[in-house]
Amino acid sequence: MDINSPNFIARSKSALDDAGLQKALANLKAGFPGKRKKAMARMPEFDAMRDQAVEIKNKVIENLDYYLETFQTKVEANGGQVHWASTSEDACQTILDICRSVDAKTVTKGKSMVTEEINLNAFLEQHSVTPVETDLGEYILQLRGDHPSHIIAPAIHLNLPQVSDIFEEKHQLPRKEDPAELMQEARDIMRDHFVAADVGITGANFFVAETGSTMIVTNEGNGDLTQTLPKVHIVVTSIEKCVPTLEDLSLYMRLLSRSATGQESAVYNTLSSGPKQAGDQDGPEQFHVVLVDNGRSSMVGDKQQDMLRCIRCSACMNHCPVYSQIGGHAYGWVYPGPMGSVLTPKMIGIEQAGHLPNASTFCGKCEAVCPVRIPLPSLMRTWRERQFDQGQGAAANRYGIQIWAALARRPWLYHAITRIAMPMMKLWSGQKNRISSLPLARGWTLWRDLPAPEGKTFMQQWNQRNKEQQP
Amino acid sequence: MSTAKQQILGRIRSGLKRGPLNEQQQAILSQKLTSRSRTIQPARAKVTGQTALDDFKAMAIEVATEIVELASLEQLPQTMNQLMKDSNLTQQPLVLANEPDLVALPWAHAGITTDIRVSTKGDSVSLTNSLCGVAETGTLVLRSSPDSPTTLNLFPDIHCAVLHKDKIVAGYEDAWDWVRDGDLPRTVNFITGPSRSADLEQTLRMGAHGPKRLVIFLV
Repeated sequence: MDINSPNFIARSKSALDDAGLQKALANLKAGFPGKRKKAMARMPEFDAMRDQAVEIKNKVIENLDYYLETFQTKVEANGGQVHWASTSEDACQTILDICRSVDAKTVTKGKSMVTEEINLNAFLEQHSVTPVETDLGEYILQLRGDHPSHIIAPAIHLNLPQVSDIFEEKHQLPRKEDPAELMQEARDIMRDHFVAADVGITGANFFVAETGSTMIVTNEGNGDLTQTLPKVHIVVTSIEKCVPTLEDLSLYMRLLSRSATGQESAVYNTLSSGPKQAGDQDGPEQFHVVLVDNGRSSMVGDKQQDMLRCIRCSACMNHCPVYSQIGGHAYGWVYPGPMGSVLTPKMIGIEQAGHLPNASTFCGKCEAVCPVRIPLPSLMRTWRERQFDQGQGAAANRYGIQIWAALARRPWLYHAITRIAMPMMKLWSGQKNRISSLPLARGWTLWRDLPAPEGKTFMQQWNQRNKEQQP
Repeated sequence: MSTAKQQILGRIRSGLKRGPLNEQQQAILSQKLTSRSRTIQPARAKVTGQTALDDFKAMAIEVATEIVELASLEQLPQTMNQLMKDSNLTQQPLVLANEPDLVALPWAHAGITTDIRVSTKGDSVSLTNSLCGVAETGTLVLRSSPDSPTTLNLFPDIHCAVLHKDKIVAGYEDAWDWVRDGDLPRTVNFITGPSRSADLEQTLRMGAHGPKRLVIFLV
């Protein structure tokens, strides 16, 4: 996927002006947060479970080398293979090599954000292997030459007529507008792909060190058909998705569905442990796991380490006031919303993704709903600090912050200036007590008036009150 | 050892400011991996007896699973015949798992043609056994085996599964214990309702790529 994060501001502006997108985003606001809240209410132990989920993931990271090696040993004992990939390029090449070893022409794909991250589809196409996305949302996007704008609801930016349009154009069948008929059409077409594919590629929501298993969590069942029918199953996942045992997995299963869609459980939670066994009538003959690093190992021991707990539930973006206004494409790369604003600078560089950690009101909702309590606002703040230290960002912002910092460290000067500024602003506002245009603050006053100060500073009022209250 | 593996493990260890774990540290972690020690279980994953059965039914129905209660397995062919009639599927074969207790039932007598095989494109209805049911979310658990191919749980429009009431457990952990009591199968399916998708305008609709109906015969 092309990197468009440097154009974040322009993309946000056009997103706000896009009536279709705004209509689609309204569905998000009306959907996931309310459903999550209902699921929370039915699970009084949820907060205690979150605490434990933090603890377990932290322990996994502290011993990640051990768990990854143990996982590999178990996968091999089950008859599968583990491949390690430091970079996106390595991961793509490994996957292509496996495809070529069985002379694969087409591969079916279950929904996987890691394969978006490594840009797998484009790579396979360049090397004459045709990838077919099987998740309904991903399939629609692939037909459109589009990319996901949400990590679990990839086509959330589209409205129904756009789906009718693309199906009519690409399937060459009579136009359908009824959602049930559109879904049936995709179902019928996809069945041929499931059967024809030589290789099935899925992601993994989790992998289990104890048993050498991977798990996918889905609603449609496409991931299951993808991994069951072809002769080769490749799981593409990233190193932090490890959980120690099936008991630990149970905890994360309970957290994931409820945090994501508000479902008590997703429809299909499927554990895969190797290839077809003796006597099995179906299932793949080969089972490969590609462990993708792509910058994650350098987050261990780093300020961003907490981000490695992320289980990709999407609760942070579902509750984010910024995401819900601009949608996922504005962020300009694979991972949108608060989790993306922390992860993207790590993966594509803060020089390119500098706007993202700044696109936050720091309202704290993302951290409040995160099932593994990732301090997302603090992590975004560390990126802002790094930007400042490296001399990046708009000059006006940098000088503004420097001036403010200089004042904040000299309270006598700060108070003196505010004592002068407050009455002046009051004067500027005139009769209506509201300021409709203010130099240096046009970004604010263009959209709304600034209430005029009442004439005295907070400290003046505070001191006055304290004096009055003294006997 | 592959170079990529060495690099990745090296970066992790340098981030953790230590070398590989020593044998004693590894033994502690290894012991934990096989201890089956449970994490916090919600109260509803610890129910027993009638409560577990009631919870299972209520949760399953909530996700649009159909529950049909049978006094005995012998009633199954007639009940299945009715189900297939109601769905205009009498001309279709019932794709059957090769489970002795299911195969032994008098299907022909009930006017049903059975096919014992994997499922493929175009199949309408399948019948399998199940490993257990989980009360906390009304989840059906199936394990793959030579006699119970996974495609039977996924491909047909209607997936029917027999679940004996004494195989209803409270929580996911109990189901994993059942799974681990035998050799680890290739696949374990936790299935909670029929297939669905919310990819069209965020509205949940049934029948995406997996079965459009999930019918549990509770015996």
